[in-house]
Amino acid sequence: MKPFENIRVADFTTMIAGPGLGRILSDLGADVIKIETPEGDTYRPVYAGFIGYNRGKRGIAMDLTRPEAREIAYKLIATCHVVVENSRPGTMKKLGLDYETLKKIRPDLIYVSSTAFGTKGPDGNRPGYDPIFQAISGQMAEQGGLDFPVYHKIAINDEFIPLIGSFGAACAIFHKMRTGQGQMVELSLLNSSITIQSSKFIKYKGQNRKSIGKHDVIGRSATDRLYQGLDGKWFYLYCAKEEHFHALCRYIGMEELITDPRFATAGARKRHDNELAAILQEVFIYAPAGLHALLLILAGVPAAAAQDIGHLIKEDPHCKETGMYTTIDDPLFGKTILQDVTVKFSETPINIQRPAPLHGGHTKEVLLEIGYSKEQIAEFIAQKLVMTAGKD
Amino acid sequence: MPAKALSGIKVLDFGQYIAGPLAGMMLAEQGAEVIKIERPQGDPFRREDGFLVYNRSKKNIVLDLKQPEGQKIALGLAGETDIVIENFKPGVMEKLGLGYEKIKAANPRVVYCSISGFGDTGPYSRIPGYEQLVETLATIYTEQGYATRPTYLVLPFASMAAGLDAAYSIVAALCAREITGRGQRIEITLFKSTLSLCRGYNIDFNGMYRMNWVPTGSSPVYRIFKCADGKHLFLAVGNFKFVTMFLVAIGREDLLASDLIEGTPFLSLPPKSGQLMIQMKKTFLTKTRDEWIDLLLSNGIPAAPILTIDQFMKYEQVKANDMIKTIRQPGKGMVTQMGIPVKHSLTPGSIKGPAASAGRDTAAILRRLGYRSNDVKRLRREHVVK
Repeated sequence: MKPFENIRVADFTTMIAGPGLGRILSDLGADVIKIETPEGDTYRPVYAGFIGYNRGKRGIAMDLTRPEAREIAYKLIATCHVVVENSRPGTMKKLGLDYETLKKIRPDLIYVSSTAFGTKGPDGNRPGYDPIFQAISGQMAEQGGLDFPVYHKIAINDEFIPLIGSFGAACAIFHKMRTGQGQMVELSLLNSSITIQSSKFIKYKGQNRKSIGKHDVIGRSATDRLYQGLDGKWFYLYCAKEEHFHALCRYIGMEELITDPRFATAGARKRHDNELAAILQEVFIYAPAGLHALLLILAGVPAAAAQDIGHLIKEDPHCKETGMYTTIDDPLFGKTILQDVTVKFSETPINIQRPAPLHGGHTKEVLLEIGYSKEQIAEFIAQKLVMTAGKD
Repeated sequence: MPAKALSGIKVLDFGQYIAGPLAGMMLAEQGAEVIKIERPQGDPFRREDGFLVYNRSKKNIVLDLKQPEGQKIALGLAGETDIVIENFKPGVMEKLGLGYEKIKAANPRVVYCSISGFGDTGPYSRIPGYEQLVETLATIYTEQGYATRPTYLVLPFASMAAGLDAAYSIVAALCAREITGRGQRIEITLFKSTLSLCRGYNIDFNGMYRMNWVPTGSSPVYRIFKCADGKHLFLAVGNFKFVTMFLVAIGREDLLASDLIEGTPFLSLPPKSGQLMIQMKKTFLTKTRDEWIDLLLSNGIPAAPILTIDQFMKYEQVKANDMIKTIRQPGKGMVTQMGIPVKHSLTPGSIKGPAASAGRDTAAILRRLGYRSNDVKRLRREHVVK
């Protein structure tokens, strides 16, 4: 048994933030049905991401602008415990798929809604993508400074919606198990951007907040940064404690630095940071980065070699031994290697349920399950109310 | 009827730094009673501002877990808890006599969540689970930077992701317990949690196209632009409808028929040439940042100024989302910080109070376990508690 094995989810989301949430619910055992428009999720052409955020789900496609298709959606939702959507405020209402309407069909429904800015307030209805919030929330400026703002490659605000949203959904599911009540759960990219920065989103009198963001930053200090090795590759060195710094000095064969007044205390090292960095870089250039990282760990100094993703996916011994990756048979691309589920449950182990669906890949299957006959389904297809694909 | 989703749920939070405490705080604000167990030397994160957020809404007891009596008190609390959270190095809880098997024997319904850098098996399990090292190994810095030079990232993605993965997994395990009657162990690693943020490229299949990345954005219509006054904005023309609206708004309808825009917005196809990028950069240098923002927003095109976090904290929409709260923090006065990020209509979460001082609730918690005031005095004298 998996934690959410008895939960069925109607997933109306597109792009990253919403689909990522359905993806986690599916990992936790829910039967997640992705419902697409006739055109399909606009993120489909970004295949890597589409697979990553939608594997594990079944997929159906229907023209929700037509009342007859809406009736089919209602019949499906009557069998669902959770609805997830991330359309612009107002869109679901126009389609008759808002919480107030659906609550009448299923009073104990949990309705998870993810917006860009929220639903009330001056910008409540504005559309927005992840980097809009990287820009406005200070993430870009905190990283690179106002003159060299940095666009984070990871769609951070998008990526944290599924985590916050899964927590919100799980709490609502737990409450429903205990009381039978459903409710609305609201998320936004704006709130996500605040959560990620919650250790900086703080203000009080006498606060000493320093921003380390600047152009091309490679770390925080000489003993907390990236260094380059002989092979041109990089590794991270991090002395969190005095004992780490001492072990580092011994490792580079310069024990005298331990008592050198310039470096003997954390305060002194801070004042002579550039000198220390220069000494270390000069030593590190004599061996490859990976070797340094390994030997530093053995010497008791926290360190790690920077890797590239190809190596991680195909060769990394730790990933192999701990089962980081798994292989699925994608209906479009065949053999696909991707990260396995994130969390290990001892009693209710979870796994990836299936590859990402084709557009309408499970339409017939799902419609049969909710009580339509083969003849009715054929009629829906003929009227272009629903779309099918593949072996479905 | 419970007023909050997690009303009546008890949590024992052995967490320190970010990941463990964050999970505990999320549970506390949805109604769980969370007791933070702190070591006599204190959570090393106490000196950071973030401590105030990740430890609010909790009770606090200081225990020396190296002393047998400290372990006994912890085991007493573990016997009646629903949840244990810990993010020590793998093996530490076992050494303290507080490992999963031991606690499960006394309390089979316990949900025991362990968070570590790399887990307790595999070659990297020897590497300390610090944020920076996890992100280095998880390719975050390599992918962000230029091909030959990684970039250190300021935000603590690894700890934040692991803490939130822990939070939802714990509640999922509570749901499972409603059916099975049994608890279980949950294992989270910062390494896996971090990589799970990289789904856009952490995959391999025949025909996979890896985009050439630049830290200002690779697409000519979805990137950072510098404006006439030296300030920056982000233009997020994220679908083809917006591409059209944008080109019309800037008077470049001519480009609609040009093959220069092929593959935009996200460049699912390689760009035809760098020409469009050059033209766009020049275009944005013709007006100030605020002029551009006015023009773009009034035409319904997603764009935003690049602000500092201080500017952001004054943004009206943050208030409208009830995301900025001021709490009296003993010793610091009024501290402004984030609200509850997820809104439940029926069981809204709430902040239950500031981060407790070390040992604030020690006496009350010991009394609950049956210790009398003389015992408490003795335990203090013997430095078992504080």
